[in-house]
Amino acid sequence: MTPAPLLAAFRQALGEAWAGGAGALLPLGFLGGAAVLVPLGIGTDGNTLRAVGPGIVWVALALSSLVTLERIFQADTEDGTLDLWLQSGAPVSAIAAAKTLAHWLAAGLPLALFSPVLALMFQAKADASLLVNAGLYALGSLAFFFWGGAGAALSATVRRGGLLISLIVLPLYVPTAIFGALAMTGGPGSAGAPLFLAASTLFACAVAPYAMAAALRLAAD
Amino acid sequence: MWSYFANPHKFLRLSDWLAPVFYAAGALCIAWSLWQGLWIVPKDEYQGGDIMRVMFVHVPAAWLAMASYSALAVASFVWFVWRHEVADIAAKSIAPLGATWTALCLATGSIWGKPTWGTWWQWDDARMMSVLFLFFLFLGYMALRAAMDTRQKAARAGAILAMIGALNVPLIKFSVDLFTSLHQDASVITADGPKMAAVYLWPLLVSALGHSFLFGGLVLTSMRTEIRERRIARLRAEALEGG
Amino acid sequence: MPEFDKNAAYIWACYALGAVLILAATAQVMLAARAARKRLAALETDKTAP
Repeated sequence: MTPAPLLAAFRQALGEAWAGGAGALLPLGFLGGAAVLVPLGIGTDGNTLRAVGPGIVWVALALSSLVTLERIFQADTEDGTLDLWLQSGAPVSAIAAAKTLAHWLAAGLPLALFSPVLALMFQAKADASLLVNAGLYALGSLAFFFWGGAGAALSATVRRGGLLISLIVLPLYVPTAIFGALAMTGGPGSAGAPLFLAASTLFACAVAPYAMAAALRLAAD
Repeated sequence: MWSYFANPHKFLRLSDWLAPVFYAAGALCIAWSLWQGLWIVPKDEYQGGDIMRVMFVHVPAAWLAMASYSALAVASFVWFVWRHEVADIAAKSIAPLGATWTALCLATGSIWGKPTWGTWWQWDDARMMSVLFLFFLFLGYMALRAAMDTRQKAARAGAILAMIGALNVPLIKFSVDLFTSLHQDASVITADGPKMAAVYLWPLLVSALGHSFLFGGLVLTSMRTEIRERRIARLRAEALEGG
Repeated sequence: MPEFDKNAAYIWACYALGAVLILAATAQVMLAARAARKRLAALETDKTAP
């Protein structure tokens, strides 16, 4: 099996996700906007914000992933590129995984790297934990993108499929959100949380591509 | 032996008599458990007085919510592997009924919670949280199937989603348990488990049995309707072609 | 009717909700079944008619 179709899929998805030069600004803008609305809604008490900050960023991260995922496969089904991917000879699951990874690199990882800025806005202490948390956000957003990709593949043929994707993937996002927030807020019993986060992300990366492949074959028929 | 049930005609003959039996059994069991629960069973002050009678509705609904999703996942898997049309029809029929009983579980749990915890919703109750996400799984499944263009696509898409959901259910349950266990709060709905006194346990079990029979009967009837709908669609298609 | 303690409203609400949801589900299933039976019978007699 040559890597050529995979690399092509990866590069094409990266180009699409980079949104013609705007790059990561769109999802970043969404993430920032969503997070900034929160203090307007819940008040500016420093202790409150510090307590809810991580959770808010997780929610914003999940929503941002949904924003970018709607188009991950739909464009291909519309213009026939999907049939080409299916005929390319490479495993469809690998192609789907490559595209999802590309979207994560373009839209998910930048959000995670931006998280220290948001954390500081939410009155977090400026220490090494900001970097650790950025890593946790990166890990969690990978799971969001892979499960979201499965939802997007299933909804690829549905017009205005974004809402359907959100409904489908919401339960699938729960473990990542719980483990991620637990890993950050610390406290008793949360010692294993980063490991659980990593495990659930690995689970997503392992299982979702096969679901995406089956759903994409369905979309192409 | 299982492929016996794969034949829609055989299924129709079986459900011809099985569905009414389920309905009768379900009605009897529910009637008896209603009589027991509302009139006979003494109130338990330790469990909060009369309010624990709600368990005769809430707990069977919870069991059915979880069991019906499992049945949905199994039916989807059977269809995915063996392509028995009856399995897909079963999955399609289970979903709205499962969603209904799940909604009943959530609503009665919430109503039970108000006098017990003082709030309409308790984020620290792992079981209610799990059932809430189960409700979303049902809704997502029904929405996805409805959004597909053809019956075949709906079957395939639904099967994929049901299997992903089933794989995730243990993980969701584990994460929710972890989340709620860290916030040690007031005890929740405790009226379950074999340590319950027989006077409460029997009506509970019979109620669960009754709800299950009724659920089964409704699924069978829905499946019969779906088989007929597919036959209608085929006849109409033939009429169009035959001219 | 049985007399319940202070939480009577909640108890009756739960049982009423159960009754309504279950009866509504049953009614929907039965009505859909009857409609499908009728339409199928109509189509099949159409087919066998000359």
